[in-house]
Amino acid sequence: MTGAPTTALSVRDLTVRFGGLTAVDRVSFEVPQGSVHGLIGPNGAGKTTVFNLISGLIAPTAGEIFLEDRRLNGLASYDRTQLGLARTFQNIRTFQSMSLVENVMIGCHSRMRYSIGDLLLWRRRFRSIESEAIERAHSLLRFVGLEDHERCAGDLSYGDQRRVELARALASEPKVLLLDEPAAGLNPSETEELLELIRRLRDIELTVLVVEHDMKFIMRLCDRITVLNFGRRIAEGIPNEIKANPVVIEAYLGNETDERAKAALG
Amino acid sequence: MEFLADFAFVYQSLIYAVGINGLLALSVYVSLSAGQLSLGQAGFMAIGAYSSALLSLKYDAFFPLALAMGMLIPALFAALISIPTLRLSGVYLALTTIGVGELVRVFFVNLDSAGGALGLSGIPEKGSFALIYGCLFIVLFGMFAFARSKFGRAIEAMREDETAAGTMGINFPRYRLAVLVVSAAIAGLAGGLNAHVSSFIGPAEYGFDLAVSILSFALLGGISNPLGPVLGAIVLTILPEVLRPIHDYRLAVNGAVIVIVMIFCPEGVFAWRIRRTGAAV
Repeated sequence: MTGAPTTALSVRDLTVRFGGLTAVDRVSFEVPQGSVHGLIGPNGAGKTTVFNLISGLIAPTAGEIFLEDRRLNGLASYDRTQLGLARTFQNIRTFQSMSLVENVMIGCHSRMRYSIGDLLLWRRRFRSIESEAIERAHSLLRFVGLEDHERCAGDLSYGDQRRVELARALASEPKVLLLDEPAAGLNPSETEELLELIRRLRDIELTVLVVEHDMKFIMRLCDRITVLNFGRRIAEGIPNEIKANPVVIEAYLGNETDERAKAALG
Repeated sequence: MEFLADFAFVYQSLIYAVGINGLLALSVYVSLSAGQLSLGQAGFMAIGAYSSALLSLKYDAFFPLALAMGMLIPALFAALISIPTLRLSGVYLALTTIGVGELVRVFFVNLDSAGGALGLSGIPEKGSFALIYGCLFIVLFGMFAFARSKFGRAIEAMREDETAAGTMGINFPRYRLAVLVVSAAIAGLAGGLNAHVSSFIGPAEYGFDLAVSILSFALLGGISNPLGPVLGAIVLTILPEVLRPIHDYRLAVNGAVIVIVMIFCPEGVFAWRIRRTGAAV
């Protein structure tokens, strides 16, 4: 091992067409291990589509996706999770009728290795893996700042459900975590707490790819940012470069590159 | 004691029917708990009943073996039909499984070596109260154990949101297959037991009405826990007997019960949520 950071996630010439519409057009970027990478762009730019392509919910028309040096094309979403990819959703998708602990334990699923035989014979292996998963679920829920873990996920506020999703995604022990608009619908203090949480994830060398509309949030959080517009990559760089990039400002605000536009980008 | 003996004698067939319907309710529960609406349970039951009865009648097979084959053959058939149905869900799966159930029924109507439309009679009465309720208890107990493992949680997650479950690492096509196979095996067991307590089986017993009755057990009881559908089966099996005085209208009462439950208690009457953790404690 050298000191140079390795690439955790890379996307090469990713393209997807829905009929006549090219939703994602030859998008490429690389996310170094342990960094937080932002994916931004106006509505309809193809950010969530890129997420769905990476997590395996839709198949690309062309292009390649690599997790470290493993090619992900053609693998089902559950196989990608097994390899170390986890995600949250823009519209919250917690399991509403299940408790918080149960939700997070679903996230543990791919790491719980026991057979039906171990269950039927009530073997020690089954019992120890289950009790470890419960412990892990509780500690992840505490990590994201949630108490009273026996509540139903459906009874929680929007912001707290986002935390459950984050804990659930972390439970699968991902190498790369995809966060789809994690700050949407959060109030300023919740957003601040989320920012702290994601920074702590970076401190433990987790790689994060984040889609977000809150520009202040993304500028403060990310190491690098890729900007999409109409499915194409229009810019990439560190937050300060992106803020000053006239192409980005134009994409967001049309032609008026005045002070007001710069102010809106933070 | 004498009263009990009389009671057991008079109501023997009802007592058997309650246990067998309990198993059928569990068979449809298995598929519903994964969000798969199957109306083919009557067909799987018919395959179980016929295969075990034919083994007993024609080959004088050892009874536990006949019963085991009565589970295995419908399970294999379910695995076979899952090749085209695995991609279906919701109403499409329901329609396809209705078709499968009818296919099985018509197959037995025309199977001359199994008595055709007249069915099979003289099946040895090897089933018993203890066997039926023993099977019911074991299946029920197994499902509670299952519910508290990663498998039970995965199935529950699939029912709520298959896409999200997939991104959590749950191989949902494999679970769909497993659910269909297990549910067919349990329906087959109910069929095998039924054949060996009633001494007669015919294709008319396993029509669409039975498939709907089985589904109604789960609708009444709810699918939040495995006991719900069993209690639903007990209520809907006993109700027509209790209502004998109103003669031909008694089945209408079953229908009315379902309608009322769906309006006022859509989750089912016995819908207690069970914990899906803590198996290790």
